[in-house]
Amino acid sequence: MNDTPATTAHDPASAALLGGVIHLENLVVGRAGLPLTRPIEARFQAGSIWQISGVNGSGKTSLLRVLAGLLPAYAGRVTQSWLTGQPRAVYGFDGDWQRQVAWVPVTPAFKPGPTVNQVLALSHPGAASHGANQRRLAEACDHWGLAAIADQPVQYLSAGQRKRLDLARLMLDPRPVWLLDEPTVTLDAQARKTLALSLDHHRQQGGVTIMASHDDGPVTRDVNTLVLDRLYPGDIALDPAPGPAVGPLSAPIAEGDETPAAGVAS
Amino acid sequence: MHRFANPTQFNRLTAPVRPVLWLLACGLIGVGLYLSLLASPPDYQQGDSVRIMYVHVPAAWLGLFIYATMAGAAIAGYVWQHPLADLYTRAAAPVGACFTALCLITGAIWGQPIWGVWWVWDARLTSVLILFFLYLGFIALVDAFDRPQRGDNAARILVLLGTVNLPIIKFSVDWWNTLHQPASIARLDSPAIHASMLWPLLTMALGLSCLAFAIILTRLDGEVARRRWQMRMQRQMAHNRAAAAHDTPAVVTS
Amino acid sequence: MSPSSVTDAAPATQSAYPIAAVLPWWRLLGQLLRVELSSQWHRRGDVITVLAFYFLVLILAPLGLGPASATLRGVAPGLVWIAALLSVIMAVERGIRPDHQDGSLEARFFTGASAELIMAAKAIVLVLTTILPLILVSPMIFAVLAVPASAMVPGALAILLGGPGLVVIGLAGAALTAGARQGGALLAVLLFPLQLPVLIFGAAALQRALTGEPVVGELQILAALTLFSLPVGIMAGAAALRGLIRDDA
Repeated sequence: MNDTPATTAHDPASAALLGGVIHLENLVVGRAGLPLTRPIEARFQAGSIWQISGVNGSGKTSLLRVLAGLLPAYAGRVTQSWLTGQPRAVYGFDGDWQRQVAWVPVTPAFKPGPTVNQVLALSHPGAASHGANQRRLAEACDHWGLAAIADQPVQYLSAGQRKRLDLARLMLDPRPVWLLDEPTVTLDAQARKTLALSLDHHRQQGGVTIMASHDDGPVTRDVNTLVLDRLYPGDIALDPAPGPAVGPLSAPIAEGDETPAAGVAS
Repeated sequence: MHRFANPTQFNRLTAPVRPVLWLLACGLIGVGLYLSLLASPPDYQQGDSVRIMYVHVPAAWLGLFIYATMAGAAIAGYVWQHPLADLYTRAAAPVGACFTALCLITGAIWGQPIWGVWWVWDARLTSVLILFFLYLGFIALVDAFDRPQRGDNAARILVLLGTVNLPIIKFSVDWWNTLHQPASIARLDSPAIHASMLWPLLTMALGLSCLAFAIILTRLDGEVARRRWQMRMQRQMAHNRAAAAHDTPAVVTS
Repeated sequence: MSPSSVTDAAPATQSAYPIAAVLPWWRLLGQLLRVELSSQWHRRGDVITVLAFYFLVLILAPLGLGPASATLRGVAPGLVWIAALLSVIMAVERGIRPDHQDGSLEARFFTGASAELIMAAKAIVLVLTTILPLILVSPMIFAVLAVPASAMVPGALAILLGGPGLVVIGLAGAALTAGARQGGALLAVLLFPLQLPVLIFGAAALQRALTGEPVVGELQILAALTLFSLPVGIMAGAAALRGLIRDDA
């Protein structure tokens, strides 16, 4: 468990203060008015990589959406201390928080038309024409093996190439919090290694990565795993007791569940 | 107010009200029809055709009033996240649309003997026609989504958008109508209404209001039941999913 | 019993990751405009299509009503605005639905911009790519419909003042229907009552210009309608946008 690298410059206790912590406080993720998970209690520290696994429909993507502030929690809450050092609730569409988040969905959102280079240039927050920025752009291209197809329009790329392009954007617009949904899907062995390098680098820099992934082995070393344990059939009451005075038409599952929220291994 | 928020409690509270409303509606409309068709005098200009007014005017009032209650419900839905607010607008919209249509149809029937044509682009008729289209848009939008909950948010916003625009639409139509005022049309609105006509009108208005809200409350009961059933179906599906997932062994990586 | 706790042990942090600077709204608007304009540039065929549609509706008029100048002049005010309204409905539909479907709409929130700002950027770009072309081709349109030269400037001015209002309310409607099953026809039914005032006063302005009467009053009302529509449309559209993204899960 305790695998602090020898190169650590600061003592571990202050490390949490340097970066931020994302704290899931009894978070229940739900969709369409129904719970998907049991209450989750977890802390995602700066300088760590988390892999969320679980079967299809167990709420992996929905959990990422809650962390990103795109979806309200079904119950419980998420706080983060990246912005001010103080815990602050992640609520819907908080621009300041979303600015810290790099969002990589399962299917990359590219419109037909621009070339690989143009997509990269556009995802760069600064002017792409500056010499330094040009260099970084070329670096990202090389790193992800996109140099050969830099002038191809994105609609001609294969699924794996699109995925690499989407991941290459992470290098150009640095964000401390990476939320990656199935980043390894469609990637070949070479690109997986590149992803592992990127994740390690991001961790070393003090960023945090939370990725939803199927149980096909960790992408890199020292990955913490949060298994979204499946709800048991009995947890979804077929005939719920009358709901609370104010709230959705369905009652949330009872707190104080007998079974643990989430399995964990690291 | 929050006592009404729980659908079960709401149902318990409104269940005895519904039959009362239905009875009141039947009684008042019966009395109103007698008063308006038999006991009130014919108009000295329009003769017996004035009797259409006893349906036409209450229908216009209700068309507007029901839209106003929908706006109120939309605000309640936003501010208090009231679970019944969206169901109320769903229940009320077709009723409001029907009364607005009734107003348009009776207006056309009334217009035929008075103006000699079925339809005149009169400012009031035009405004009511646009109100009817607002209702139609709402009904089309609320059912255009795969999941009913998705339509709720859009429907609320549309009702509010319509509400803030309604005065402007009314103003534009009035202005447009004075610009294009067709010549020689006898205006319908008489300066004052005689008491012998006022009483039947008020009775009919009250009776039709009772009818409107009896229908809305009955529909609301149905909407609540339907939403519950949908939630139950979703639960059943989630339950089956969980049962299936539970059979596969957990994989914990290290 | 409390849920089990999960905490990773000593993080391997060397230094704090610099958080991304929170940008002022105008920088964010600049970024959004850059993205919107570039995406519009790669779909410039759409702009041409909308413009061609506008032209087509207006050219059908002489073919359907006969080429007599007096007839055309009589229907020109209404026709120009009806065609503009239909073009705007076509354009706003393409402004939100494709972005929502391919996921670039939710990606836009990670610039740190609010939904309101995203709507405003979309509105600005759509005004530039639909209303501006309509104004640019209006001399041709007016010539085709036998509108005298003296009425051209007030007519174009009316489109300039009323058009943005049409776009903003139209975008709000498009955001409401972007998650719905069917698009175009539903959007038209929603928008027709809401955009009616602009249609009435826009047509009235051109009508009065044709008869040589002063149009200042109508132009003022059009400007007022647009000024009213801007906050209302952007707020309603932003609320619809948030609902759209929230319901995506």
